Amino acid sequence: MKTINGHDLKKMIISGANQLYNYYPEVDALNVFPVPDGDTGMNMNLTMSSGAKEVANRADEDIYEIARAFSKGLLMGARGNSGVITSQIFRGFAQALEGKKTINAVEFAEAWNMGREVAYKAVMRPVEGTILTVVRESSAALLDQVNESWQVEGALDFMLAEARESLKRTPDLLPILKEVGVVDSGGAGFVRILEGFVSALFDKVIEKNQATAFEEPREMAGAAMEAEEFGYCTEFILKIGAGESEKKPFVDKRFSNILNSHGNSIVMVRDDDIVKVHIHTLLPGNILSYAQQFGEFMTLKIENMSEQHSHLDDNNKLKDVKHSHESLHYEAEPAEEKDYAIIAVAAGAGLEKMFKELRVDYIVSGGQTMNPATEDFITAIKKVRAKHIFILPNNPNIILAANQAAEVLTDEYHVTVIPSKTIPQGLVACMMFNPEAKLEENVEEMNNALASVQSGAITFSIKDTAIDGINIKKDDYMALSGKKIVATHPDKYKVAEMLLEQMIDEMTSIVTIIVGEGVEKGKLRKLTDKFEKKYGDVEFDVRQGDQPVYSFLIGVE
Amino acid sequence: MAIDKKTRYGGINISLEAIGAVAGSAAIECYGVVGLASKNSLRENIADLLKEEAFYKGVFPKKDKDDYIVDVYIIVAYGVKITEVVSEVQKKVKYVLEKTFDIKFKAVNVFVQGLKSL
Repeated sequence: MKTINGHDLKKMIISGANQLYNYYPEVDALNVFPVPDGDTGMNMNLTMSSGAKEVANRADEDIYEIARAFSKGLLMGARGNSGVITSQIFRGFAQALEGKKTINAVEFAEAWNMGREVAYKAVMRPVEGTILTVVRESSAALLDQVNESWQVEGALDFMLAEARESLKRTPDLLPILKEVGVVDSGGAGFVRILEGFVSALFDKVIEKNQATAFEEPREMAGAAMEAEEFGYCTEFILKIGAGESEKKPFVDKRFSNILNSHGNSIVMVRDDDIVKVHIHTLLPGNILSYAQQFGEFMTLKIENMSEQHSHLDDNNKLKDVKHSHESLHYEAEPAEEKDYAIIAVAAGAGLEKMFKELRVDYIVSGGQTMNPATEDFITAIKKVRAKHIFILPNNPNIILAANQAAEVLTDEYHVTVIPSKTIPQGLVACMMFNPEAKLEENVEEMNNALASVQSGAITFSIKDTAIDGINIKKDDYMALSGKKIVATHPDKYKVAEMLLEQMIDEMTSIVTIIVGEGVEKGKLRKLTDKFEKKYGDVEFDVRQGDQPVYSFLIGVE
Repeated sequence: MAIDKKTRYGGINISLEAIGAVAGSAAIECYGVVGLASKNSLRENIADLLKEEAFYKGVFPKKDKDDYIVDVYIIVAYGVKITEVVSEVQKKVKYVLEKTFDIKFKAVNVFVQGLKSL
């Protein structure tokens, strides 16, 4: 192609957004900069989706119109650092196209260059070795080489190759990347977008690969997938009382009870005369006939769940109804309000049982690889119904979400977050909880309990890396004492032994070992026997936790 | 004010300037942040960008009961999504301060003192 127009650009954008969607979990996994919270891929994906949505319904020939709409969609939907940068790149890109209907390879290169300029303007001290570097180097290389005889797809292909090279060099520019052994995540996301663009120009628009992401890691982490048995994800917005024929009066409680008896994963939100419902059911027809007795549908969506689907927000004011399989279902409320309730975060059947035995009322499923969101806590808080509610996040990354939930509901509920950072801390805090005691005493006792236990864990490495000066090979097991990695070895029992040796001292009286998935009982028994002999006055308590990811969680008191 | 810490080897006192410098340079590395501004820039009616050695004028750590809080005054580029920039600044400043000084900050309050068209 000598020139491209609005149609081509639209195809490129959709293809680029889909390609990023397909790979965003991979991009997340690279995220170590600026804050290693593992959300770069997700943020960029949401940003691109918002941009793609803006152009999806347009059919302009003019390339500028499409570029401008895309840029606006990106700006409005920008999420996170790399999302904001992406929106700026395309803002510049769009500015360069002003007044143009079609563009050739040279103009295309100039547009990218403008994108780079605009992107760089918005930061006082650009950090090199990031998405900015990738854009700068690839667009400069293209502008340097391009001439009138080039095809547009050739130019883009050239730029993609340069971007890949540039991405490879990011660890040389940003030491933290090198230390962890990854390339920059934002840059990787940008390369994915370019891949989608190139593919579209070669007449192969990338489709969303439905099997990627979202559900997968959650399943791994042992979330209950009750929804499986229900065939159709059904969503509708009902306007109560609308329509010509006489409608029955709508009673929230009764309606939700009917929904409950016909399916699960139910979310129902009412705002005046509008009700938004989400349900997984085998017979969507029955639900719809029932609902229609009360009013008329404004929108309807039914999807077969064996064909998984992505859920894009419809610009509705009730958009907080989110489709999430693991989220807590709307159920009949408990009859009476208790004095205290405890909400704990855990993953794994055994761990959940252990917490339940310690009077925890509600388990929010989650852990290291899948952090529950603030919303999950809000649902949990609303559900337990107690005068005072304690939350045990059991993970440093989850404390924030728990605090936010407590803050959001501060007027309606009395919520105290006990900042437990590990499962052993959470368990000890539960043990100290006394339903007869006063609130202040409980808070104090539980907080004190956190410090009384030393936490350790054994997990495996997903890549070759070096942290805290220890070299770790992929698939080797590593031992964590608190936050620090203290040992590594290919054999998990050996690592456990090394870790225990470090953690046990003359003050130790009880060692709790919580056994995860994939541990052989015989080998563990040998290990504990050995330790019991060596440390006569220490009690070893082995419990089945079934947690994923961590072979052993160890608490030393 | 300065922040006092105690370890078993003795006390550590971290000055306002030090915290300002660290938080300030973390903030201006964030995308969309044009620079730090003085807290009083509104009253003085000049949104001057602070120079590196004066970063402490735009960063105010304080102690609220047992928690530390830091206020950061910034100028943002015109045309970026400000909510995102601000939340990135909060995340990054908190992360960098906690990593550098090993002090927990309960809150990072960001004040957008002005926009700058580029």
